[in-house]
Amino acid sequence: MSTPRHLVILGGGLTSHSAALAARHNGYDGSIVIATDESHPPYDRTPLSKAVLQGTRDTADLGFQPDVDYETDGIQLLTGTTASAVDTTSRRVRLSDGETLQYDDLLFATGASPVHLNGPGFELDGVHYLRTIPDAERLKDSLTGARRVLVIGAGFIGSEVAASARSLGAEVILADLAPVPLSAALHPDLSSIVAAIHQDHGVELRLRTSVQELRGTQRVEEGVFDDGSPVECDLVVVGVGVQPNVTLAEDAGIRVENGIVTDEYCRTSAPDVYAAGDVANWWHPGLGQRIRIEHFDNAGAQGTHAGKVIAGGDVEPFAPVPYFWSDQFDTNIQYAGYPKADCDVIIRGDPESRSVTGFYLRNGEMQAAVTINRAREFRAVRRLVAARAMIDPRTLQDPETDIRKLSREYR
Amino acid sequence: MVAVLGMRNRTQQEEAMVPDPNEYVEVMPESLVEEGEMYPFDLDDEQLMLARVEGEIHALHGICTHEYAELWDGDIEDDTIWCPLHSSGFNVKTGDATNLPAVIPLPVYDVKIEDGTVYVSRKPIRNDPDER
Repeated sequence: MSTPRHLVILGGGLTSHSAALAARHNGYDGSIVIATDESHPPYDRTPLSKAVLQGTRDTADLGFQPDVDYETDGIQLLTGTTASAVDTTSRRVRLSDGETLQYDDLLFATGASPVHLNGPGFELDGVHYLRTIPDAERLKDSLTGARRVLVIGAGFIGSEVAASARSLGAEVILADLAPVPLSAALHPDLSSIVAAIHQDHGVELRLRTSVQELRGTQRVEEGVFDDGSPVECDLVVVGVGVQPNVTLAEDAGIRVENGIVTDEYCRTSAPDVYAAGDVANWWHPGLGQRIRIEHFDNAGAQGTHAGKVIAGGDVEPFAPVPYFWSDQFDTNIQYAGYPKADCDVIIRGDPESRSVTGFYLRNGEMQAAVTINRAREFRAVRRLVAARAMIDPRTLQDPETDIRKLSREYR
Repeated sequence: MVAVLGMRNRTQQEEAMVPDPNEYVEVMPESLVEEGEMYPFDLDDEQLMLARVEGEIHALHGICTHEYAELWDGDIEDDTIWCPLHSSGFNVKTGDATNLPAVIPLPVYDVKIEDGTVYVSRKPIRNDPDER
C-alpha cells in the first residue's frame, strides 16, 4: 500500500474538469483539489459568444456535470481562489487566502486571458472583452439596446460576437488588421467565404485596418481607424486573441515559451508538474513540433490525457488530430487537422452556395480539412485527415463523389 | 377442416407476436436497415432514429442533447454515434454521452423485431428525460 498522493489542479476550466475526472476514474486514489479564481464550477465557455449572448442559453446551464457533484468523485473545488506562488522544491502551492496546499502532483490548467488593448479611450465605459460568465453577462446586458457595435478583431470570438450582435438586430462593424476574418485559422479561399457570409447578413467589414483610438465622454461614442476616419458606435467588443496564463509557472522557474512547455505526456520541466489546455505548448509527436491550441476539444482531450498520466499506468503519447468548430449565423464551420501553411487547398462545392469543404493537401497527402455548412460530410472528412489519405484532387472536387462512402475504408 | 383450423391458429399466433401498439410502434422492415447507417423516424412528437451496429439494431433519440442537431446526419464509428455539428459522441447501446460538448445522455428505446419488421418502444428504456 502506498501513501495516498495529493493532486492540485490550478485553473477551473474544461481542462481541469477533464483532468480531475480522468485521474479519479483511472485509479488516482489520493486527494484532488481544483483551485480556480472564477466563482463558478468548470463550465463550457463555447456558448458564451453565441447562445448566451443571443439569449437562448442560460449561464446557469453551462456546467459539465449537470447531475453530479464533484464531491461524488471526491474532488474538492476551491472557487474564488487564486494560487499566488508555487514552490516546486517543497511542493507547495500558496493560495490567495493565505492557505498552503501540499502536492505530489501539480497540474497547470490556468488557461489564457484576453489580450487587452490600451490605446486612448479603451478604458471608456462600453468596452468589453469576453472570456468568462461574468464577461458574457455584462456584454449581454449591454447588447440589449445597443445600436451600433464595433467588434475589434475578426478571429473566432470577434466573428461569433459579431454574428450574435447582428442576429440581435444591432448594426455591426467587424474590424481586423487582416484582409479576411479568421485569417489565422483558415486558408484565404475559405475565410473569404466566411467574410461573404458576414456581408450576406449585413455585417460591415472593415479589414486591413486597426482601431487606433476610442472616443466618448464617459461611454464610448466612436472609434478611429488608422487612416483617421471615425466610426460611430455605442458598444465595443475587443477580441484580438489571448495570452497563456504563465506568470505563476514562470515565477516558479518552470520552462515557459509561448505557454508552459511540455512533452507529449503533459510533463513540464519540473518533476511531477504538468500542464494542459490553452496554457500548454506541447510536443506533438505526429507533427514533430510543439503546438499550443486554444480550442475546446483540445482542452478536454489534453486534460483527460494529463489525468491519465498523473494516475499512472500505460498511456499513449498525446498526438490527436486537432479539431475545432465555430457557429456564426446559421453557418457551421468545422476543422480537423494539423495547422500547416504550406498546403494546396482544394475546394469542393460552390463558394456562392456558402457550402463547401476545403481539403489541405501537401505532396498529395491530406493534412487538414474544413467544412463550411457541410457538417454531414465532416466526420468522413476527419477520417481522411486522420489517415492522411492520398486522394486525387479531381475525385475530391467531383460533386458525384460520395465522401462518406469514400471514407468508409478508413473507418 | 384441419387445414382451416391450422391457419386460424397461425393467425392468432401472428397477432400475438405483434407488440402492443400502445407500447410499440412499427418502424420499417429489418432488411432495409443497413450496417453502419442511421434512419430517422417520427414517434409521437419526437424525432428518433434507428442505427445498426455489428448487426444489432438500436433505437435512440435522434437530436443531440448539446444543441439542436440531427444525429442521423452524423456518423458511426465502432459503437459511437458522432454528432455532425460539434462532434459530441454517444454510445449507440447505452446512449451515454462519451465525448464533449454533450453531457446529457441520449434516450434509448427498446427494439423488437417481429416477422421481419422493426418495432420501437414508445417510451425510452434508458435516459428518459421525464425522469431526470
